[in-house]
Amino acid sequence: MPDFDVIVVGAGPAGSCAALTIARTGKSVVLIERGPFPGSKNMYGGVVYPRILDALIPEWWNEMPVQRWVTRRSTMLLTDTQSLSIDFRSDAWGDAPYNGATAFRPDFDNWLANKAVEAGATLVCSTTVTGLITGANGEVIGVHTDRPDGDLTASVVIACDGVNSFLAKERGMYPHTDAAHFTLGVKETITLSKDIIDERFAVRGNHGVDIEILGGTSGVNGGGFIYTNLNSISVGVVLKLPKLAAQSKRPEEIIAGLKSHSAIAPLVEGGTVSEYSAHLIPEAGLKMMPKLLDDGLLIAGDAAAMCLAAGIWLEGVNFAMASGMYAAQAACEAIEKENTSAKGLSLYKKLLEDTFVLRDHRKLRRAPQLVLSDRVQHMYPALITGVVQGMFQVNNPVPKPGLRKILKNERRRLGIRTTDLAKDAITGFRSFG
Amino acid sequence: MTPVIGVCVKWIGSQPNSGHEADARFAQFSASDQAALETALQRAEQLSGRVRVVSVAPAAARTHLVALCASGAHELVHIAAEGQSSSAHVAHELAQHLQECASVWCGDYSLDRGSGSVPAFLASTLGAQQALGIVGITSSEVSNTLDLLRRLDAGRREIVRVVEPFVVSVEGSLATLRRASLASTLRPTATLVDASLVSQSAPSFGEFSPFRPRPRTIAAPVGETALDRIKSATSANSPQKHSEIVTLAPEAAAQFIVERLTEWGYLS
Repeated sequence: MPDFDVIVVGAGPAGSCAALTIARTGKSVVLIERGPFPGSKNMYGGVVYPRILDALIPEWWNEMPVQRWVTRRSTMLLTDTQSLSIDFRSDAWGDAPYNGATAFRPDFDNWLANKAVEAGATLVCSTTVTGLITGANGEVIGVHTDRPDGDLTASVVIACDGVNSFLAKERGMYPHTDAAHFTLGVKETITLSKDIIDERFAVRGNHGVDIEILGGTSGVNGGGFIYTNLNSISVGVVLKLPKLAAQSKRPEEIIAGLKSHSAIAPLVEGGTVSEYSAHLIPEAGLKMMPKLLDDGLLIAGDAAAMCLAAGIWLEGVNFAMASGMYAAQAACEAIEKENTSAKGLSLYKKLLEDTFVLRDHRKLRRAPQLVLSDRVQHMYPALITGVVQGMFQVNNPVPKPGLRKILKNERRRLGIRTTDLAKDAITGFRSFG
Repeated sequence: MTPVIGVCVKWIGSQPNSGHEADARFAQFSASDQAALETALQRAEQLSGRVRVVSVAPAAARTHLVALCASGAHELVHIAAEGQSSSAHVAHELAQHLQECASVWCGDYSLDRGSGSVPAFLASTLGAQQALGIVGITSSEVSNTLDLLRRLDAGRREIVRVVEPFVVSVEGSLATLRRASLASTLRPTATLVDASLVSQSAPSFGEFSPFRPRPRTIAAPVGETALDRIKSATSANSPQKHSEIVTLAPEAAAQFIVERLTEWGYLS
């Protein structure tokens, strides 16, 4: 007789949603977290899109710990001396049922884990899972932890142990691990008064802004971001690992460079850095996704590379929560049918395939590579800002040039071949179209 | 009869002056409180005794106290109190649940930088011997006696022999609290006793104030030049009187000390 029906490893969004789903069926579930409390070890940029929570916590917006509801989304292209912003605002996103919010992970993750505990899950913190216990036929039947007498058994283990999942790797479910599949997210939380944030970012009340930036990363492929919290802003960069290593630049220097850009400096001026953090992000989407299930074992969240990094869409927490929830549903069904083999757990794959989790990843499978390519990173921001500058610059008595001429001149100046431009346009259209 | 070893711990919800509101997620017990528990567990193992953890703490501390006790304590007495109390009051409340304890172990330092005086008040209330700021323990041949090592100034040490019942506060370096097993973390076994304050304030121990030597009137220094007067005022040319070693019976020694302190102006 196992100690629990299900062991969930990691009390992040995936793990807590899995534990909450299982606990509500009356099955016994233990949620094991290595930090002293859920969220203490976690980090993201951070906007969370909690629509998937509708299925788990009706009217979650009334209790979720939110910093600001994102009502402005801005995409910014940066060169060394230019910037171009496309800004969108929707008042509807500032009212229920909302769209996305900035939140602090120690608050958000703790809240979600407590939901699981309220539903009957057992939460054990300050405990690290160190390995899997396998049965006579090689199936997973439990976990080892770093506590004395720390073995636990269960019918199913759901590994939500984050990026670099040691459990999935131990099981050989990550056959294609490659540094190029990961980016390094680095973030400074800068304290500013609410009034200053409201004024600089043109928002009021608990409305906030999400600015995604292409360029401004000191030549390292990646991107930048600025998010508004209530009394602070998050400024950071996401950097492709091989490029970062090749250029031997330090991430904090790259953030400093971003903050000193003429388009960014006025936004961060006078602020005090109150936190600096960094985390790996699984950004290669489908290309890096591990085998998602095995006998007695399911992989969810960042551990399963459930992170969508597709330029204009940068989402992770919603994919984590959904994959955790679906893993839990599959585990419950398998336990009820008394078949926790990979075949018995196959509902997980089906649920992922039938919903946005794998559909979005499949549709946008080419996007991460395109967005992080050298042309998109270094040439197109210069091309687009150059064209816009050509449009708006007044060179009287020279008459205004036509748009086609400006584009042609800029393309030639930057050495962009028409074939490459066309190829990328097609890839972009197939991804985002 | 099974001896009971008492442990007193102080739960701190947030760091003082951190600018953050109290938040149970960041709550901790000091390293010295944890060392006190570990030392008590070791003492209980030697004596086949039971460990009773007692704490005056708010309701938010409950899960942390239970988690702390998972390291091996047998009983947890949680005295519910939300506000701040004086050290004398806290000691008075703790003492209600430590009367039959052979020894009581406390940390010498709390994370809110308290005065560290609870163990002394506790010893006074319990009528027990006390030894504060212990950095080492040596077992004595007599089971109810311990030789305890204390720090003194200038790198000196002293060994204090205590006989049960005693109250001891320990430094954090004395011991590292053992890790709770997974089984005891999942299913806590310590008997939980909910208690409430027996009084809203401490019994009076009299008026206390920091010791300040009394000002003394001394004659003006004598000398023709300023240098002479400075030498006179500082006794620079006088033969130095180094430390004096006297061997006296305790009562006579105490009297000798009082006389000297009076002579030097520290006592009126």
